[in-house]
Amino acid sequence: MTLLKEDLYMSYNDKTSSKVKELISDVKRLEKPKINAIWLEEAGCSGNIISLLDASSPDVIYFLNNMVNLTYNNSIMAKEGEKAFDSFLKTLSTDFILFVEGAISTRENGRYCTIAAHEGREITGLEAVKMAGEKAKYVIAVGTCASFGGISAASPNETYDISVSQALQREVINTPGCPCNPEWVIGTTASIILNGRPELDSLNRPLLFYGTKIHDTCPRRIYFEKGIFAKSLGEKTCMFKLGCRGPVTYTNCPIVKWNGGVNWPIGSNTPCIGCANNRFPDGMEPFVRT
Amino acid sequence: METFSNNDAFFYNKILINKLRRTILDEINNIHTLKKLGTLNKKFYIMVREEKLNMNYMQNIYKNICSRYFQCTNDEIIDECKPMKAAFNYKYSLIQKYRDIFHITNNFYINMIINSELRQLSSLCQIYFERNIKEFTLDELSKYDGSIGKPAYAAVSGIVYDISRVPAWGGGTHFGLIAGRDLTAEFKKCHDSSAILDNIPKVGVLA
Repeated sequence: MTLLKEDLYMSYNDKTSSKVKELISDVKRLEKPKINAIWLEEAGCSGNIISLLDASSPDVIYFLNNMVNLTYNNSIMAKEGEKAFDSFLKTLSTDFILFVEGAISTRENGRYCTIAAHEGREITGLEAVKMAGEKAKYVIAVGTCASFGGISAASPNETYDISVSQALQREVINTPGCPCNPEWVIGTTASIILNGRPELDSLNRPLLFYGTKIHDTCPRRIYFEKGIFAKSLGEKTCMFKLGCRGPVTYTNCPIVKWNGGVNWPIGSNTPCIGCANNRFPDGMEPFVRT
Repeated sequence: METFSNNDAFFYNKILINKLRRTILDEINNIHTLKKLGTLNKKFYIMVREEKLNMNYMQNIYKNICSRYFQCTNDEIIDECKPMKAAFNYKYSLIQKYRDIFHITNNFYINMIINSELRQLSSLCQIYFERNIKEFTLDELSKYDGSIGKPAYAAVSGIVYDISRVPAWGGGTHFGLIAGRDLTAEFKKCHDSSAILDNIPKVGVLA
């Protein structure tokens, strides 16, 4: 591949990045009404909500003040027990966006992931996601587990975990990543608030964030072309021979980076492990080829 | 050839080419088996290595096939043409269009197609004859698994490919598969066409 083509990709992704900033500021400028939102945590590790809390530009305060009215989150909400689940039920009769993180456990009818107790009955994650999933205006699967099963559904998958789109008979917008980058969640939400359903690829991922291969915008791409490969972790060249999954993973990581744009795996000399890939983690192993 | 109408000649030729291709591949496979048995005819081997003779060899095969298939009746050919006609409809209409404009004879197209096919076939033969063909046993192949920066090879349908620089094969691994094996079954499970293999360097054949 010539440098020219790479430049084109680069300018494309620069555009997407500025497009996201535009979208997010438009939400405030146009004073769009806030839409209710439920953030349901299923069989996962809370990584995605923590990632969202760590968002920097915009931060989660902006997200909650200007974009959504988050009525339920079983990990971080102040209400507890029945009262918490009451606000979940109350939201179901309104217009709302459903965010789901974590895969859906289906073994023994979902009993391996119980999220609430209501009126003496245990509510399983499977039941909750079906209740909300049928009524939600949009369903966004946040993180790889919710999008494709991910680590929760990795072999041997004892709890029979499935993705949100497998659990619901409807369109689910997938925003994979382990965790999902806060810019991808907030950006997708902004895009929905302003323009409705975003443009999706064949795996239902928003093209705005998942439209290009990591490999195509990788700052170390020139090392790949020249055949200069790192032999061990820590070398500042192309980590293809160490099993980098950049060439099979579609995200804009090289542009948005992580921890508020501070750094990303390649920048700290470790290969991409393809965490946003639909075959993660089983199909992405070994993470480091030795 | 004269026994067919103008319209059918093109398709007939396409069938002919396919048969030609199959015959040549059979021949190549035969050589391969012969070589395995240690009774390779050296003269023949040298002959096909020379590009000019290579073409002669092809043309000989072509002539043989011609003499064999020109005997077919019109009906037999038309029956065989039916699926082809559907598949090449667009191409066919273009050829019809320009044929009328430039008054080009059938022979022109037939020769053109034969030549391009022969060129493709001779490049196919290069894998076998012009390169230093190496025969890999499965044991030998397993050394090229891409670990610790080693080259990564994998075999599909008897041909060994060098996948060391194929982007999707980081570190000689690809969606849970590891290089250094015969991956024919896995390849066929996930890829509809073998066209993606065309640009991957070929390093030898499986013994």
